[in-house]
Amino acid sequence: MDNHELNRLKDTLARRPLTPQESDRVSRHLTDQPGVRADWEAESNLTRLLAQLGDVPLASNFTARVLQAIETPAARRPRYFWRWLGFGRPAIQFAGLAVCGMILFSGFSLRQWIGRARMASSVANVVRSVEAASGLAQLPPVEVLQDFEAIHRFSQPPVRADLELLDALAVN
Amino acid sequence: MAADLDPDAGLMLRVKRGDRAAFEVLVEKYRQPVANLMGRMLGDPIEAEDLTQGVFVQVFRSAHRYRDSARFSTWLYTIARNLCLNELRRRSRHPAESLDATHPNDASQPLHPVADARELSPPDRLLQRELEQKIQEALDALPANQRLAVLLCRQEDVSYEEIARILDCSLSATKSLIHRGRETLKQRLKPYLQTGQWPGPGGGQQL
Repeated sequence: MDNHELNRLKDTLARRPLTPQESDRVSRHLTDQPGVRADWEAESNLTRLLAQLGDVPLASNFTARVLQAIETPAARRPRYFWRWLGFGRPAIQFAGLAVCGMILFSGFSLRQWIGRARMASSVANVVRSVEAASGLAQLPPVEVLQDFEAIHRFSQPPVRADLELLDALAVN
Repeated sequence: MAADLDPDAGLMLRVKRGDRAAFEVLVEKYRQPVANLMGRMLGDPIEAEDLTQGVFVQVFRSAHRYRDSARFSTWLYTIARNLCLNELRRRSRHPAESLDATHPNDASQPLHPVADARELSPPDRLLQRELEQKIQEALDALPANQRLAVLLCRQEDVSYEEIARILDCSLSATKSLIHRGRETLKQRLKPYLQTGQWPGPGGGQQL
């Protein structure tokens, strides 16, 4: 037996106990190598120890429970989802609460700001209406407006005929 | 295509199309190996059963993501590994005391003795349980990745290449993990490995 085969059997030994034939070949090979033999026996015994580990007990209705679990949508998923998000950790919980608080506060502030802006806009509209109304209040009385032709002429530059008439009246 | 070579991949492709019967076949076939892996990783059979159920539920719910480029068992054990490592991380953040924990001054005594009126174990059963407890303690002392590598190595139908894919590391790194894990186990279980005898009460037991 060469070293390559010995290593291959060592790999096999890490996975399962050797068959009697394999063990015999290794034993013959290791007869005159006591140092290697001790290590080999420790490996072999470890494999046997691990192979002695019994099956973990499972409920007889295990498969039925799994089938039932896949029928109930998201029965376990949220737990894993939240766990995956890290919602079991106190620091993450605190950070989550802080973010929620900030969002709520921002929402409340935004609502307040929008309310104030609407109020200001309404007040401005009222002010404009009042100003317009006060402008109407300064109009001259109706009696003055009856002689509209005369008033209209006040704002116009004097006509030449009028000036000549005024001059004539002043001479007389 | 793996489905041509791996019948389980074919079953999984049927699960992907919504075939519950194919899923049931897969659960029946793999429930014990997955539970054993979980049990040895977590050291708690009750929690192992819960988590094993979680593995299969996740397999079903993630079926649409399954690609038959790899063997089904590789994909299954990768899911198992992820859930297991998540659970171990959660435990490290929120440590809980197990009722199976042993007394700090006397490893043969439980920390909180609870009488079990249903079971009176014969001596050989006690010896077997004690031996399993010692092996489990030695396994628990390994880093999670080494423990997983050593345990997956016991699954004869999972090749080294598949173990490497499950552990998400190279083949040489996988072999190194297994080697280091086994070396540590040999050191911890030395008294039982040298003689091949189990030095329990009532005489030795041939291993």
